[in-house]
Order: sequence, then C-alpha cells, then structure tokens
Amino acid sequence: MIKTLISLLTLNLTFSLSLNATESSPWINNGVVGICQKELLLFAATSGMDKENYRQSLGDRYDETVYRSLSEKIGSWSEVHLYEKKLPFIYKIDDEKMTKFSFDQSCALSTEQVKWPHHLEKALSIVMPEDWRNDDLKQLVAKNKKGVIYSWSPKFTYSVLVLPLMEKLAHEMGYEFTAVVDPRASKKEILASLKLLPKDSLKKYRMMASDKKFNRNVSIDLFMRSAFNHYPITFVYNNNKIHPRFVTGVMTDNGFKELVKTYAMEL
Amino acid sequence: MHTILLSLLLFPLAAVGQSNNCIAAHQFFPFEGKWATKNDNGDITLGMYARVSPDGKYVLRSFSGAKLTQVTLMELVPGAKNSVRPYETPLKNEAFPVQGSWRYIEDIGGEHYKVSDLLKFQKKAKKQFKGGISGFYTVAAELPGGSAKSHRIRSLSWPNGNPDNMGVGVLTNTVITAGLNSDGSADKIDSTGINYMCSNLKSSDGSVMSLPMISPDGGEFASMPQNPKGSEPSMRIYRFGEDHKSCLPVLDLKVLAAKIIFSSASQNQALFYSSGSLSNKGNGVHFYDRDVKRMFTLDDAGKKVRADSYPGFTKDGRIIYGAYWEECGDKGCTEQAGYVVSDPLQSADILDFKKDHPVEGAKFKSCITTEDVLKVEEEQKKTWSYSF
Repeated sequence: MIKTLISLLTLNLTFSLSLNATESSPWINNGVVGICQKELLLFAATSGMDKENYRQSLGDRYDETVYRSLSEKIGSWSEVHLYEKKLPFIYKIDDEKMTKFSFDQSCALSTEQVKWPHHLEKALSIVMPEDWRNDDLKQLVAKNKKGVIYSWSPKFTYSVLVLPLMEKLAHEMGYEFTAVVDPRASKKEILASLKLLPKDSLKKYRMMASDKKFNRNVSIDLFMRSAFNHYPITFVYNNNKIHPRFVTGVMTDNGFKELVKTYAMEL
Repeated sequence: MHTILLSLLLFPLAAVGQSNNCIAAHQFFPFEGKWATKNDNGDITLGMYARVSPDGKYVLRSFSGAKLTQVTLMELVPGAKNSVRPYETPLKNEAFPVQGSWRYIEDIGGEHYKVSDLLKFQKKAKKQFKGGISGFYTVAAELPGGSAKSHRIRSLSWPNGNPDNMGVGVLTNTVITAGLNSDGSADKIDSTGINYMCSNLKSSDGSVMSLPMISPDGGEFASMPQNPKGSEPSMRIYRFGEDHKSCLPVLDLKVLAAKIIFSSASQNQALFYSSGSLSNKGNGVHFYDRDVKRMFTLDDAGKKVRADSYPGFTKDGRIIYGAYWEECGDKGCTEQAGYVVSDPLQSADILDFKKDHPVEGAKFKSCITTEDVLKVEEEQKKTWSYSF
C-alpha cells in the first residue's frame, strides 16, 4: 500500500515537473489542445521530447498539426500528430523500424510497429546491391570530415545536369562529395539519365560511389530530412553532424558555396 | 448538312443544360499504346516535369519515354475509356508555358512557339520569336490586360550566366511585349531588360532563394529562401514591386515543398507536392487555401495513388498530376501510370472542413461542374485561334 502510494506520489511529482518542463511545448503554444493532453505531455516529458528539437511540419489533413524532431542522432526520429478534436499519436523511428504510440478513448497508451507510408513501400521493398542506407550515412559522417551529400533524381532534369558542377564546386572548397539517387527510380532510368552528361563524366559518375554504380538512397534518415520532396537537395556535414538546413535546387556557384560554408561553420 | 449545323448550334446549349453536373471526383488517363515504355522495375515511364494547360486538355511533359521526343504535349482524351495522346515537339529539357494565357510555350533558350503550331506540325513547328529570360528554372506568365495584338510577358529565373550576380540580386525578371501580326505570326516588340531582384529582403530572407514559380497573372511569385535570418527556411509568396526589382512578402506557407503552383486569382490557392508526414495516406498533393488559411490534401487512399512532383491547376480549379495507381479487380491489383484529374472540392479533407467549419467552408461550392470545364475550354480555344 505504502509502496503504491510512493509510486503515485513519484508519478505525480514527475508529472508536475514534466508539465513545468513542457508548458511551453510547441503543441501547447500553438493552441492545439486536443484530447488526452495530460497523457500526451507526460509521454513527451518522460520520452525527453524537448520542444527546442521539434519543428512544425506538414500535416496530412486540414485539422492535423505535425511536429517533427530535429535529429542529432542519425536514424533516430519522432513525429507528433495533434488534432483539434481527435486523439493524438506519435511516431518514433529507430533506424528502419517505425513505432506508433497511440491513445485510446480513455487515454491509455498503446504501441504498435507500423509500415512506412504507401508511397515509400515499393521503393523500400526492393533490395539492390546499390542500396545506400542509414549505416552508409553514419559511416560517412563519422569520418569527421567536411562534406556534402548531393541527392538527385533522373526524374528531375536539372539535378542530373549539374551533378558534375556540384562535385567540382565541393572539391574546390575542399569538401567530400557523395551523390545519392532517388530510390523510386529504376536502374535503367538512373543509368539512362546519366547519358545526359558529357561522355567524359559519364564513366566517372557511374563509378562515383566506389564499389557501386550509384548510391540508391534508401536511407530513412535522409527521407526524414525531406530529401524526397524535391531534387536536387544538398546536405552538409561536419564535425560528425549533419546540418538540419540544406540547399534546395540548383544554385549559382557563389550561392552554393556560400550556403555550404555557412552550414559547415555552424556545425 | 442542316442536321450537322443544327447539332453544332445546339451542342453548347445542351452542355449548358448540364450545369450543376459535378465532374467525377477522380478521373484516370492511363499511358497506353506503342509510345508508352516500361522501366526495368516494371514502372511505366511517366517522365519528369509537367505543366497543365488552363483548360486541362494538355500536359506539357519532359522525358515521357524513349520512343518520344524530349518534350511532348500530352492530350488527355476523355471517352468510354480515357486515354492519353502524345504530340512530339522540337522543345528541349524543361520547356515551359507562358502561364495565364498559354498563348506560347517557351523553349529553355527563350524561343516562343504557338501551341497550335506544336499540335499541327509537332517536331517541325517553327519558333515565333526569342525573348525573355532563359536558363534553369525559368517560368513566365502573361500580365493582365493583354490582347492578341499586344501582350506583355514576365519571365523569372536565377541570375544566370554570371556567378558574380549573387551580390546584385537573388532572382531576375524581365517583361517583354509581343504581339500577333495580321498573318498570324508573332514578334517581340519591346523589353524592360533584366531586373535583379529582392535586395530589399537580404537582411531577413537572405541572399539565396530557390525554386521560383510565377502566378498566372505574373503579379506574384513563390520561392524558398535557403538560409533566412530569424526564421526557418520555408516556401513563401511575394509580390513583384512596381519597380520590377523589389520583392514584397505576402505569405509564408511554412512548409518545405517542391515548386508551388498558383491557382487562378479567384480561387486563391497554392498547390504543391510534398512527401508529407509519416501518416501520409494520400498521394502527396497538398493545397493551401489563402482565404480560409488552411492546408488541404487530396486523399486517394482507396486507389493507392503515388503522385509525381508536378501537380497543376486548371483555370476552373481541377488538379491534374502524373501518378501511379492501383487498379484492383477479381484477379488482384495491377499498377497503372498516367494522369489523374481530381476535383479538390470533392476531397474528403474539404468535405470534412465544410462540415466542421460551415461559415469558413461556405467559400467552397459542392463541386466543379461540366459547365465550369466547358467555359474554360471555350476561353482557351479563343486564345489558341491566334486571331484578333
């Protein structure tokens, strides 16, 4: 009995402290209160979900507000989904495993392993020797060097055409250059698109990823960093970290260099 | 002969008589025929980049398969079984239309072609004139008040050609004046020259902007500041200043997205593709209504639609996009590729919003009608007649 009481008091104390810690949480500041608010805040507090590490993201219904974490640890992400009149839920990603934390009508918490959104299913269900995953990303960034990751797609002409230029600019700045390609494109499409490049660079870019003909980007971490919204997108890494901001689209030479240098300096 | 004439005279009346007939919530136009090719992963080649004509009859498309020219005009042919008919063109890469009117389609070098020529002569179509800004990501729109004899076209792009331009402006635009001659040919008449833009926003929005897109009336543009100061990078809408150089912030969409497509001014919406959140069960197509200030999605969960990154608005508000979708029957499901035409007013998201917020939701009528579609088709036919 005493043990139960102590547990309840501890829980209450933890909850009070947690509420204080999260009272300025983005989901509270935004005025989206919703159902099971206390339980959600307790979950956020006990899971170490600090508001500073979240940014508002795109919802998938008019009444949905989404916050996605800014990941410092490659492969580790979470996303909070809030509604005006519906139950909230949270996704947590640990490398290639996604877990959904939901509340029922009585606000009891349950967890389940869930599938990726259907637009990703096909790309992720195919396994190819050229696959470039979270582990490749971790190894690259762990080398403690400055570099850029250029994400391109044969479905976006300009991202193909400036591949040689982007590499040249990166090397001029003394940065590593790694190109990764849209996993929704087929091998035939990828190789055919590279024919748009000058002949002398074709061979080079087919071999660009050392033992692979190209790096098929199935890194969930880069997907969570918005790599699949548009091509090209260039990520910058330095000091074992990736900058949460990135370069979208094709740049003028100076614009590209300025952004890359700024991001690298901030890491 | 009299019967044919009578039928022709009665057709518009019959069509008008169908007013308030809603178009289907989703219509599918599959890629089928000898020109449709498959990739080694089984996907039909959809191509890249797409722009939708104001009447929704054509999609300007690049790289739609090895058996076609680099750029094609794809006609959406409705029927008992909808189909797509490609027209080959001499255009290259990401050729683009002069938005609003679609009076011309421009090649990346600034050469202007009449749409009627591209449909009639296909690869042998001849350019009318060269003008405006050329280069990566160029977009263009016809400014209001134009006529066949004289019209102004604003084009917008990067400061191309000279890397040192970065200190001068983050984007560039120019306005040319063109007009039709009595023989139906067109010429460039005048140009403002190149205007370097947005230096007035350097302290807030930074010195690099990406993914520019222009509104159909050429008065606004969307772009994403790459490294803004004091705010997160996001897609934003600006108005062109009177001097063609300053940029006036209008709206921050607060999303990371592919290029924005503007609706007609009366609908006041912005459309874009984004892979969205982890709960995404729709097709990646999102639109923001600037009146009710809400983001909506097109929900195709029933058919498992995977949209590509280039949706477009018609003048009456339909949303057209290249996509893969599942056709399911007794023998299981097969994947098809082509174009989807959706009525956003019939989307689950809009219907839910109207139910939950009846006052704000009053902006949205129940559907786009066949009459709405016919009206924009007639308007577009006049433009493409290239007559005074």
